[in-house]
Amino acid sequence: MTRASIVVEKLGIPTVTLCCDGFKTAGSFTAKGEGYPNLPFATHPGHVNTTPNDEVYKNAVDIMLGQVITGLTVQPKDAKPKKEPGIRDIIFSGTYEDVNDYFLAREWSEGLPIVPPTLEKVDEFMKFTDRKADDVLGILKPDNRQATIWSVAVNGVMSGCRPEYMPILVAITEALCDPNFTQENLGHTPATEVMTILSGSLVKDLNFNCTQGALRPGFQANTSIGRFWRMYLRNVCGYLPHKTDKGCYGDNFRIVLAENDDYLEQIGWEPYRVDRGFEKADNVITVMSCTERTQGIEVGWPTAEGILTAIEKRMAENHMFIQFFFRGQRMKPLVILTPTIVDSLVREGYTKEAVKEHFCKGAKFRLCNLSNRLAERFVTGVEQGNWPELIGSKESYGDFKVNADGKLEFYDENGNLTDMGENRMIQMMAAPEDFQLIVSGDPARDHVIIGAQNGFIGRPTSKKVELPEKWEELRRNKR
Amino acid sequence: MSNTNQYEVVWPATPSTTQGAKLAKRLDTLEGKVVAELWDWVFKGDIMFEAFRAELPKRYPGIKLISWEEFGEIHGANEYEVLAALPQKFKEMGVDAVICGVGC
Repeated sequence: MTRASIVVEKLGIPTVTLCCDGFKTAGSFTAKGEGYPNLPFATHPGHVNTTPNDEVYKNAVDIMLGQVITGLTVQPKDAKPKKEPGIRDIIFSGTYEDVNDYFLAREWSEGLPIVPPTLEKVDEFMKFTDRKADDVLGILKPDNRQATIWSVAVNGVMSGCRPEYMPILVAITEALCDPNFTQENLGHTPATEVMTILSGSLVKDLNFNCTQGALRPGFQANTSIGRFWRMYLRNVCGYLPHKTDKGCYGDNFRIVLAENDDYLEQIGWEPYRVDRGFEKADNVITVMSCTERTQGIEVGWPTAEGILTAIEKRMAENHMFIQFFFRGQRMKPLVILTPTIVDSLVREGYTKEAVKEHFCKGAKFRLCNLSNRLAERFVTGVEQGNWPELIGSKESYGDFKVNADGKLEFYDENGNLTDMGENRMIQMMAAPEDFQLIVSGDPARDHVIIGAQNGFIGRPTSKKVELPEKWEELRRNKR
Repeated sequence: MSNTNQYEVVWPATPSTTQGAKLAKRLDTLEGKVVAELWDWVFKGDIMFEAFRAELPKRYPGIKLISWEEFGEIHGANEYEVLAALPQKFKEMGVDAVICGVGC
């Protein structure tokens, strides 16, 4: 909302922004990042979701109305510009402990020790890119700061990366800056965490783990680059808990997921980078929102059908952010399969496309499992005519509503309650190609991971990793 | 220069591009003004706007509120397009002020 208000303020039209009172701080910090720290708000006491509708109305009249009038008629003070350091300026000097304390006090680290970003260290990273230090990859919200190549190197140093990871860090930052990814939404309440996926020969060249424990800390490339993502969101985007990062619970940064290329080559499936429209010879980084992650334990079965249907049932348990589907959007969930699982599918002739096709048809949701706001969003989605062929239409359901306890109720033409959706199934996905299917993890086990993707927030966004001209020489010198 | 004990370090952030912005001039009164409603279509904004539509004209005769339905969902898959269309719509409608919600 704050972003929309800023757009309007820039037109010279005064605004007042409505929010629940627990969101004013986040709104004010977002406004500050836009250069408007004194943007006016009108706040509802408590959260509207837990407040009956007639009370929301009363609060709007008794509490918010006065704030709306003040916001539109009383001129707030303008912000004063602040001087900021240049890229090679030394901002602090001290011991390892001093530097860590200094950075922590300014919210420039997440609490784990950082590697001090000295000029020597950062320059070492800069050798691994042909880009200039002041090249700008984009402007990042909420703080509206420039995503410079130099800042990528500084935060890479701090996160414990090796200099040779620099081309991957640059590609990740390019993906972050891509408007398709909508990074401006990452401070929202579901606390979207992102999965970063590497597909290509760099997995082996830089010692990424793509087998057992693929998402476990313990492998420098996977772990430190995962940490870099959150470090960059903190220091350049400006996403800070209790300020602009309004994640209800939040989550840890994700370990980078590396694809098992050797196995794919062995079975003749194309790698993920080809699914994303790149050449097989490329190295490709993909970032995508991956908020709710479900591990389906022991989906293995002697038949492919048994395996696929087991995975689809876990998809329903994950919900896969179905509320966005009700709003007419497409979700692009992540599915990670182990080689053991894929072996069983390939044995019966399944291609990657056929697996996705099966998932698309088989991922179904039972309506009685919707409740409260999710149930309301289903009703609104049906009323708005979103995906009628997949979630049903007003005509097909007849009379239905959400009851006082947040459950769905369906009625016959005489107004009698018939059911609460116990046997009503809807589709969860719009198209097979929306599944992001990766082969990784323990080749000896039959678990699967399903990662929900938040619709328009954090769409899968891929970038080719551009290696510097002297890559081989630089790598030789590092060995 | 760094030695084994001392580290001279650089800034991890980058220059802000939004320094020195100014808020729009506030109105002297809402009487006779055109106020647009912008909504993200969640968190009961429809109820809040219903209340404002009922109450504001009692205090400010001639005020006109333009419904959120005229502008589309301001936070969603079509956010960029909806926001990009606002200047032209506001111009055509003669909008003087905006109430925008709901952040929750």
